Amino acid sequence: MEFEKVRDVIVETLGCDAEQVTLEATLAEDLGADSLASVELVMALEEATGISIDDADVANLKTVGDIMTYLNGHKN
Amino acid sequence: MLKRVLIANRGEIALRVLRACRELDIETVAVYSEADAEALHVQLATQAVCIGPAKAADSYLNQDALLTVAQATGCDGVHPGYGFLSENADFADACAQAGLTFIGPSGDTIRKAGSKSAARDIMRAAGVPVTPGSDGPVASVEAALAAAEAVGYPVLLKASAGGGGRGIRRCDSAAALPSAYTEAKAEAKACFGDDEMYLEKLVLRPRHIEFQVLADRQGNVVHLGDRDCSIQRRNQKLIEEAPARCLTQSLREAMGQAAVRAAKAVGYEGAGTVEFLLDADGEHFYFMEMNTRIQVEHGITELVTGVDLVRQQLRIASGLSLDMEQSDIRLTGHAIECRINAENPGANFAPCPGRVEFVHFPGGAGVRVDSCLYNGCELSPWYDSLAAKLMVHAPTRLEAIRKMRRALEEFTLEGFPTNAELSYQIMYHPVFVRGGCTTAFLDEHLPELLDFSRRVCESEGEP
Amino acid sequence: MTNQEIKELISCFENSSLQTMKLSTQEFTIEMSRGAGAAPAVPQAPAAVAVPAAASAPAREEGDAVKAPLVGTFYAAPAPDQAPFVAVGDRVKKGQTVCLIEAMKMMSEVPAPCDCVIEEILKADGELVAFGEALLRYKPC
Repeated sequence: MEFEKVRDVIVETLGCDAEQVTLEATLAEDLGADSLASVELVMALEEATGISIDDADVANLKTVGDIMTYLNGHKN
Repeated sequence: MLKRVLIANRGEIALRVLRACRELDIETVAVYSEADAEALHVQLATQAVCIGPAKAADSYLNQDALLTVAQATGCDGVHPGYGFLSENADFADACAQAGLTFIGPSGDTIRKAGSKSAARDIMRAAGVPVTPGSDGPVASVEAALAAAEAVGYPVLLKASAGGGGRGIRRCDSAAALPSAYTEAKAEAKACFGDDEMYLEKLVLRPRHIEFQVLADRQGNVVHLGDRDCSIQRRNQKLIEEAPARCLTQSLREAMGQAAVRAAKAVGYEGAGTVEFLLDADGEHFYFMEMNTRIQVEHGITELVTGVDLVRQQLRIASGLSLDMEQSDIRLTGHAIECRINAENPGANFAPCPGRVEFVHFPGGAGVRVDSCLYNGCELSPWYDSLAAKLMVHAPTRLEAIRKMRRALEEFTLEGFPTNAELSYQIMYHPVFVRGGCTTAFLDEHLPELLDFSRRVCESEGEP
Repeated sequence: MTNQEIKELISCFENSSLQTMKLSTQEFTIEMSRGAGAAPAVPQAPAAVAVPAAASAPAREEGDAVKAPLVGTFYAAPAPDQAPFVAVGDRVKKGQTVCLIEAMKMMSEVPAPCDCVIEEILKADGELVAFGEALLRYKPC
């Protein structure tokens, strides 16, 4: 899963800037995602990648890096 | 093609049919009760004739009046819309006898598909899975008790001629059955003049998924995908979506084929809907009922398929065969509809019709509004409280939700309260956004939703 | 105002049952009336949308009129070959049948609402009448 694609989904869904979206960036503090925004981000990532993200796993997706590892680990 | 169609209905569906007719250069004859004299569709029709006082029984349900006007004005077709006489087999037969094309299935098909218990037997024979229930009607409390015993509680007591959530009672135990049975029977008699009852296993926390079908006289039948109508209150739908997010492609194909088999089993003609209950496990689906009419929520199927369903009804009724194969039909993007009703959710959804002091409908890319409202018109208390249908279409479900939020924010109506604010709150509810709604969603989350919208109203200084 | 709009205005007027129509703007005034002369041969515009404002029926003085109790076909006489129930100037008793309305082969007799004199018969045999539409004008006596 290329990083650029995931980054663009994050930028469009959270309304943040591309430069902010680094692997270390946290969704809540750095990118300002509240609980609803993170539900929306999960939806957008699922729709963009076709990979379904289990609700139970959403809680441990704290940073952009977590998202990348999860997506690469669950390519169906 | 049909030349002149009598629109035996009112409100937004009458306008919808009128528009489809106009685009096919088919003349339209509108009928109206005294209460609807200034209605939009009455003013836009080629010709309009007042057929009776406000009471539906003396106007929109007055078959003789409708047939008289249809013949006297030289109509060759009658479009019943939804509700009113749209699923009345006798009316369909009366149209045929009067040499008029009833735009919909024949009286016999309506009887077969319309009676909920008869339909179940036909479906079972056609290999369409049905919810476990009584074999045919339950004529007495004893019969109902026996059937409930066999199927296992909780059960639903349902009127065979039921629809729109009327004549239905849930029953969780044998002790509660007698009163539930008599109540449902009385309501069925009052609403449909037919108190035949049957019984079904109550599938807990199901999803309400329905499939749109089109069938022509040449025996071709296609399905146009599914709609999820799980956001409902007391069986009255509030928000519908297409396609249903919870269906896998294989499940969609299986249910779609079952819907086509169901339509063929009753010799269907025209546009219809096959309703299924999808179990909480998302695997098992059961035939629930078939609606032999165009539905309120047909617009979202039109948005995701690009097919004009009312135009198809007119083509089929004119004897043309379907101009599409199953393989031609694609579901693209996602569509959501919010039904805007003249009701006050805070006052137990009490209907409160009135005069439209000011209305502004949203527009822009991917937004469609079907409504008869115009500034200064009266929404009469005599009929249902549906004031408008706000629909959006976007490439993904999340974009559709965000588009609906924008559309609801723009929507302005002064004159009477509506459920627009409640729908707006639902668009921000995590369970809805995640797509995890079942038919229990509204009952479970209504208090908190109403609390949000009340706080919003107070902050904006509205009463 | 373009020619097309004027043409539509004319066909709107033709399709309505208005006797006269007068339209004045800063630049000019148009006046149309249903005179004895033949209407000018104007190409039939597509079925013009009835302008919402002018959709109501012409305002004949209502006065007292017998109104259609149901929608159907008006008949002035009990049968085609027989004399009409009433003629202008007749005195009729309350409840006396003044005309028939047929709906789906069912004939309904329309009674006089009071003792009165028939002033004008507004409908012709075989004409479709809407619910509540005026059929005959009368003067109570």
